[in-house]
Amino acid sequence: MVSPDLLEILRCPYCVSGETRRPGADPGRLTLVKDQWLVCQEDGCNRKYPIRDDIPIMLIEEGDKYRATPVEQLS
Amino acid sequence: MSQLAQSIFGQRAAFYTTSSTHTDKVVLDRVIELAQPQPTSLVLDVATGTGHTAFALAPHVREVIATDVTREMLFEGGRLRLAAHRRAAADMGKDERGIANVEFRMADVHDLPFDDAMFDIVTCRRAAHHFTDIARALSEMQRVLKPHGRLVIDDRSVPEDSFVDATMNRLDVLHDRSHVREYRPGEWERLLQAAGFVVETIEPYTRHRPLSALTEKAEPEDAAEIEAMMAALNESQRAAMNIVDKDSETYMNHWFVMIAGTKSEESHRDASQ
Repeated sequence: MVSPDLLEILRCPYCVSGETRRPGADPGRLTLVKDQWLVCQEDGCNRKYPIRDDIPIMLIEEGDKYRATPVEQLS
Repeated sequence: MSQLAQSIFGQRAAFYTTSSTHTDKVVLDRVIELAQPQPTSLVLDVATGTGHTAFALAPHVREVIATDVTREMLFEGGRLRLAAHRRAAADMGKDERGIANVEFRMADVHDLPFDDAMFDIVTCRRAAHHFTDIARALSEMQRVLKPHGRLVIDDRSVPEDSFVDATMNRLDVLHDRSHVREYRPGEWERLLQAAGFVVETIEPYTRHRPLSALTEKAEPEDAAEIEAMMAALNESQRAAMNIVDKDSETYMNHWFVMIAGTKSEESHRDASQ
């Protein structure tokens, strides 16, 4: 189990860093889905980061893999 | 970090947990001293490998988040953590705190998956010479640090000497193809200032290491090139590298640098505008 206050500081790496950073004070916020996925809340991002063995996989290329997968189909 | 680094560290994860250069206690102690940890500190240890630095800092702080780009390195770290948990339980809770407050995230230092200004301390040990864009990596570490937050970097380095710089960097690329560059202390100072840090400490140091440390894990053709480069050195070049033959082994200097700085006030003001 990943501790909730440490999940709270995680952001979508694509939307929070570098030249792809979204505008606003706090870009790239994530929502925890089914206790296993962190889904980016930015419009059109759709990146989804899996949590495996209590380790969130926060790599952009990992988030890219699930962009086309609807949230309800995540398992 | 490159796919090459991911693949090389995947193969080497088991080796790193027992490697003496990666568990050098004097160096770890200095990292902790420079980090000035407080019981309330939230620490980010980037490119943690199997978590040596994270575990060393953990007893001194509230929480350590350890990141690495390589799954195998993190899972090796997780394995160590579990083993330590079991030992701690058998030991009636002794040292338990120093292990339970380390959490792992798979993340790339060039795109850190954290909100701005979250961490009191960022550490990075023996990894920066693998980063494909050092300026961006430092800028990301700066972004996630709180104002006046502390950065401590320990890394391979080279002296301010063009011959040694070129030779050592070439030898280390041959040793490990995911090496990008080992920077001079002066380069580090400029890089840190450009990234918005106030530099407090730049401490170069050396370790006298056997040549086998370079050749052992290298590909056969790369090991052969290392041997050929060493054989071609003249006396003054050997002296510059501090090459000494002893106990039927060739020893040479490896250069390192220990760096500490703080996130500058100026950069904080810029970020808030």
